Amino acid sequence: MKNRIINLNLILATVMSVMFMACSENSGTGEEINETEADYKYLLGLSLPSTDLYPLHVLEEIESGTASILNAQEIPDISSSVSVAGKDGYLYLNSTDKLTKYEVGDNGILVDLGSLPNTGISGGPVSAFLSDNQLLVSTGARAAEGGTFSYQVINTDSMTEEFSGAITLPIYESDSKAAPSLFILKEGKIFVPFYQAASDWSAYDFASIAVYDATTLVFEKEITTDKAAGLGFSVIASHFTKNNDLYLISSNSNFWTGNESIPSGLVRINSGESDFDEDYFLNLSEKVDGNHTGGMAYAQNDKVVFQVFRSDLITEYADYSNSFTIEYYVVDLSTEVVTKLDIPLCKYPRDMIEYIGDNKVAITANTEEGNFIYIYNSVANTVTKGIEYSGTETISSLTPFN
Amino acid sequence: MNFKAKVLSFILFVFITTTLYSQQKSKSISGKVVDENGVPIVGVTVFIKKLNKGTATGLNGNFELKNIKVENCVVTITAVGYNSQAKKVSFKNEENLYLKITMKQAFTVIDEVTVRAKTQTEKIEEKSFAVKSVDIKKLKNKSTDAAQILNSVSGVRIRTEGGVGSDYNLSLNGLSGNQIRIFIDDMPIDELGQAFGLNNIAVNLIERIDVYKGVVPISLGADALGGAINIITDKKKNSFIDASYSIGSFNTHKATLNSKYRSEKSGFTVNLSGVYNYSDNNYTMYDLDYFKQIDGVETEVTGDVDRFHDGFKSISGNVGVGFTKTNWADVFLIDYNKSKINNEIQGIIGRAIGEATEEEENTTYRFKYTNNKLFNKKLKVDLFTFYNDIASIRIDTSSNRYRWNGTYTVNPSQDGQGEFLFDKTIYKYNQQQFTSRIFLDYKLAKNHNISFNHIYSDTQREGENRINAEENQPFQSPNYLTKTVTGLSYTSSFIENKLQNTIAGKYYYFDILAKEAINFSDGSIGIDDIATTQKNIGYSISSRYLIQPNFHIKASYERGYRIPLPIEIFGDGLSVLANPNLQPEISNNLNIGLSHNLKTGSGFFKNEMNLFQRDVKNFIRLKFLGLVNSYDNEPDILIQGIEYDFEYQNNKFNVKGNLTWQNVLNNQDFEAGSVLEQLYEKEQIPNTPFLFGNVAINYKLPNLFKNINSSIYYDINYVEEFYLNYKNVATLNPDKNTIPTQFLNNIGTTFSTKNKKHHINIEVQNLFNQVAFDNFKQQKPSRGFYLKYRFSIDH
Repeated sequence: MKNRIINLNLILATVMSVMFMACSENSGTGEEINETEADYKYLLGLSLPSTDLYPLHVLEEIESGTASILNAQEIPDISSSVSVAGKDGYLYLNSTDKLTKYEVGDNGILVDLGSLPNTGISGGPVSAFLSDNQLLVSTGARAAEGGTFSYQVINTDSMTEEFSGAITLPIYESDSKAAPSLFILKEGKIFVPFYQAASDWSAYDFASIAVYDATTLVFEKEITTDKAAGLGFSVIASHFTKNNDLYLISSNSNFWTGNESIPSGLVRINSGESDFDEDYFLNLSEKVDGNHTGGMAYAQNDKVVFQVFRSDLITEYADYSNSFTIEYYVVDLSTEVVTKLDIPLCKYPRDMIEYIGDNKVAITANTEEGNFIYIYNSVANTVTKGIEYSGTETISSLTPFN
Repeated sequence: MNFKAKVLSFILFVFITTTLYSQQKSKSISGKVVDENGVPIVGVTVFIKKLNKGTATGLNGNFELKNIKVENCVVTITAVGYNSQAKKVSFKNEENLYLKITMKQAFTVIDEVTVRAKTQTEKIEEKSFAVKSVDIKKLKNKSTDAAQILNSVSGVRIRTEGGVGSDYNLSLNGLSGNQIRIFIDDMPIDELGQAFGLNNIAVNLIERIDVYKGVVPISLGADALGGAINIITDKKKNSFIDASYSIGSFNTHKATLNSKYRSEKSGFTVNLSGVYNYSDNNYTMYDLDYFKQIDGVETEVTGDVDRFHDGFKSISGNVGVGFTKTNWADVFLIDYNKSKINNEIQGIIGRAIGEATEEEENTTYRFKYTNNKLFNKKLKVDLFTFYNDIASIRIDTSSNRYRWNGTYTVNPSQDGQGEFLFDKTIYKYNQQQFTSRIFLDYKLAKNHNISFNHIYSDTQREGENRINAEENQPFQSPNYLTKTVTGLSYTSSFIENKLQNTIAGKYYYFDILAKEAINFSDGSIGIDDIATTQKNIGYSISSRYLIQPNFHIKASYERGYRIPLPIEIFGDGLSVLANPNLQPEISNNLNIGLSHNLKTGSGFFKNEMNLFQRDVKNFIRLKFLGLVNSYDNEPDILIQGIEYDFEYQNNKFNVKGNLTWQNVLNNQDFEAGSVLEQLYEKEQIPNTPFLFGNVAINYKLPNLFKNINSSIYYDINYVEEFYLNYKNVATLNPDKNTIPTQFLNNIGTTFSTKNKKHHINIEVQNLFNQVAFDNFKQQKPSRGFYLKYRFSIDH
């Protein structure tokens, strides 16, 4: 009897142990748990002016799938929240009186990491990282008589101002109007293409770049080319570097500098140099029916995606933003062959083209059929429809930040 | 004489004697009078007309009539409340007759009725319109204004952007701003500049405020979309003086004078009134994010700051001369009004403004004629004409960039931007408006009236930015807006005035010529004429039925139009952008209401409930674009709501309150199953409260001090949490999308001399210093203390 009891107890203990071990391994679910954190990479700015809504939406994926404004995470405290830059997982957004650094927290909620007073607000802030944690920025840049603009150099680790000052662009006449288009760091110098026009807003027949020392922001010289009447554009990607050669695209359409007597195209400043390569001009207007260009992005493999305004569809200035007048093309730098991308006519040109790595350029398309992001792959030389976004009137910006 | 003759003579003698004797001997009639239940009736008259003899029954219902010397007579028996009776009696050989009379009741016994004159507010509220009338007499001692009073009316919300003199938004049953038209004595004032703003109209000048919800009577001649507010000024017949001065927190000073002289003999009348308002509005805002220098580094901190550039000053004077209450006119007056406003612009949360200002100078000439006695008092004529001139200047020229702690940095960029981050502005604009209105009311027959109203308005506006820019040329050429509204209505009463109906039709006409700057594709700028003419017809019907004298039901419907105001079309040159393409709003309005008044021993308990619906097309909404705004047509809006009012009063105690629940929904029809449908369709539109209410308690303390009437009061204003934007946007971060619940408390006390000449009021507003947010999430003033002295004397 006693032995029987002992044996029974042993069996019972064994069974219970096995059960316990089994339960521990399965952790109560019977399934393997995969705890992966979200990998947010892109910030979409959304615009619904008819309802006063300008939310922000942080996404992991834009190359496929769908997204909806119902899941937008942020309502900025004010309507004019402008994306300045994105880098290393952080976003830099400008508002009416301050520039703020954010990281993306759970569920894509933006977490405020610090702010500092800015130099104003406009739709076209210009900025460039001077190092991993130094940001040169001018947030209030817009055309001004006299050509003087404030800038800040910000320590992005502490979000404090290292120093600030004002740059005066070397304008042609004292009453000319000027605005910086870009800040470009190249070989220890800051190249500042700037838009310049006479006091009556008529543009000159040349394009200018002011060159400053990157450490001191002291003006060194001005370089000009008569192959363009404006270079670069603060509201959209419009330059790239390939093998340390700097390429810039014309911005002389009537949307920006307003001198369409000169064709649009690409100009170049070679590696190790600080003057234009006068032998280089890739005429794009002659390849796109005489139309003029907006922004561009380099997709690697000698492929450049660029934006074109259909002048035959434009009757007034508002059509550049509010009407479907924009096409996208790709040019092969080696062969100079231009191919139209199979993307419907779009509206709204600002912040619409971005290199997203892996030989791909994202093109934000606000079309009559809806709002999409198309992906151009320079290896396959194909364009495919990426994410479809619903519930917004316009996607007003795309900022990769990771 | 033989024996037979002697016997016959004797018999005859006896007979005659007996007869004579019997005739001369007094008889009596007695009896008892009872009712149908056998209960004796006291005081019944028993009367023999032939003898002119009568008596009345005693406590036991008995009566007796003596010394009756006739053989036959008619006895009448009468008593109040009973059928009279007449009894024919004959004594025969009797000396006394006994009558038992049973009387029947003649009328139904009625309850005791207390009869008193109805107040003007009660008369207004008994009309067929959905209307709330507020008696201001009891509020004149308070340091308040028309805007604060209206904020305590059911269905009304006044949302401000700061303290005294700040911009405000008025909403009524979900419709707001310029959809609700505002009048003073039937004169439209909402286009007459800041001088005639609700927060600039002192309570001392007002007799009552009528708030019309839904259907607006044609006498107001308005293209109001869903309601109107008519401020009725003091109409005392005799001479009087009413003056007050109040002082309060944030360096607030208010002074008012309202006076009238009238000659009893001739009716010659002189009115003189004036208002002075001043406040620094430097109240504290709590938990604000702002930058300050710490160890030489600009550092963002959170803290409490005082507003530093929000001063407001207004001065207004009015003199009127003419005749009142004469044989030939009830009113014949010519008025002249001059006002001046100086306003510092503090800005909104997000960016502090430290130097931008605005000024306004306002002149009005008015003629008014009223006569209620034409054609044997059948015809009433009411007409007025006024000319208003506004000269306004908006200044934003500073390159300084202020922080909320009052410090600033200088913008080194010569970018031409002012503090509003638009081009620097010295914007001068002028507006002239001529308005003329005639109202006729004719009594066709008893309980049948026909009314006609026609109002014509012509507005011209031009402006110039002294600094810069070609884009402002449109304002250098005058912009014109001509508007007429013509109305015809018929009012009739039936069933002993229990049922009253009013049907009305309105014809709207407007003609606009505006200038717009066009940016052409080559960068050049042109000036384009925007001209449009529109005509519309609206109509309404309203009914009221008295179920009982103290219980009535109302229903009303109107199809109304609202023509855009000049500021909506032209902008204001600084913070409101122009939009010449605005279309008129259209609304179908429905109201159903119940009202019951229960008399109690020493007071009453009143309940009202009103259901309302507004179906709006082309809704014009002010869109907040950061530091500037713009008016634009919105998709369809559907408003549905219910409001409840109550009031209880006895000899000393009065409590009244209201609660409003309203859905103001985006009514656009989106594709089924789409994200837009989920996001917007039938969702509450942004920045619109949906549940709010008020309670006001007043308690009289008549014997607290000798010869002093005193009272204490307590007011509560409640607004439930609501959304800044659509609820379904950014659902993962809802905190940023809500404006917190607001629960504001005020307390005060008033002391008045028995002769009602001197009054002192002490009040604390926002008693618990609650942080409350208002229009566009701006913080309202913190706790404030106010003291007011008022002197009034009537001739």
